[in-house]
Amino acid sequence: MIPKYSFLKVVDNSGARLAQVIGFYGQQGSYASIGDVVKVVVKEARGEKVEAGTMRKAVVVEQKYPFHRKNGSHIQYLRNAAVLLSEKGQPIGNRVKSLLSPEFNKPRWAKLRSLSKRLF
Amino acid sequence: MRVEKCWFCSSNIYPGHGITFVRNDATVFRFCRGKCHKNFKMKRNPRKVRWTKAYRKLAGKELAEDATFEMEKRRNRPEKYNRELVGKTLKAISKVTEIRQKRQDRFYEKRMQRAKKQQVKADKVQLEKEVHLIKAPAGIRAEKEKLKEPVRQQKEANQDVMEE
Repeated sequence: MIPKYSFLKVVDNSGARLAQVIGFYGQQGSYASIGDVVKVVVKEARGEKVEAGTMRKAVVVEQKYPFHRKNGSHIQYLRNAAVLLSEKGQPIGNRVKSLLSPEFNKPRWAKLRSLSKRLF
Repeated sequence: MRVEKCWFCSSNIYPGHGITFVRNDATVFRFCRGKCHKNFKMKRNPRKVRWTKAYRKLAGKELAEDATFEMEKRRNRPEKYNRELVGKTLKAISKVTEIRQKRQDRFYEKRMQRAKKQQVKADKVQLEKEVHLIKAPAGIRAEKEKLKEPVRQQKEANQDVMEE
């Protein structure tokens, strides 16, 4: 349940710290959820890889609002977090500091999964 | 599908129930219901909250260490599917549950035996203090009079004898 202009913590080592959502990809609604790709402005950055003020794609990886799975379970995290993606949709960084949920079991996110731990 | 244990109260979490909470350091907490979740948010320590299994085991009110608990431990090695193995496991599960139940009952009985003596004492005291709840004071007095009757008769008989 992440609306426009909300801040996401960036949990990979691409150099960005904070990203602000400015749009959604592949979706008509006004909220992004875990697993959604989102257009993002990098607000704070550390290092040279990514500069503050650039627009990037990102995928939402953690969400405070409990998200509902088809098996009936609900999972919530302590923060809203995202991983920066390149224009093609592959993660920029090398390491992802987050426990991914099984929403990322799809082959689309194979590279992302190889960079982080998984949640069962 | 797994039946998980609630982090706070240690009860079973069946599918479709409860909330899973993932902390920023990647620790996963599962709660069986809102009560446990709220207690966790209040930062209560389950070892101090009386109705949780954690408290009860720590306080020695329930069987804590036993071989029957080994069956439920999580094993991270996946077993190759073997029909016989599954059949045997199912039988073992029901047998082990039976044994565990019996051992827990025995533990409870032992614990309560020590309390029996205290209970008898407490009952006696209560009877003396609060017998008015069962009988009216006038009735109690009448009974006491009746008990004194034969003694009084005896005394009078003795006095007569003495006077003679």
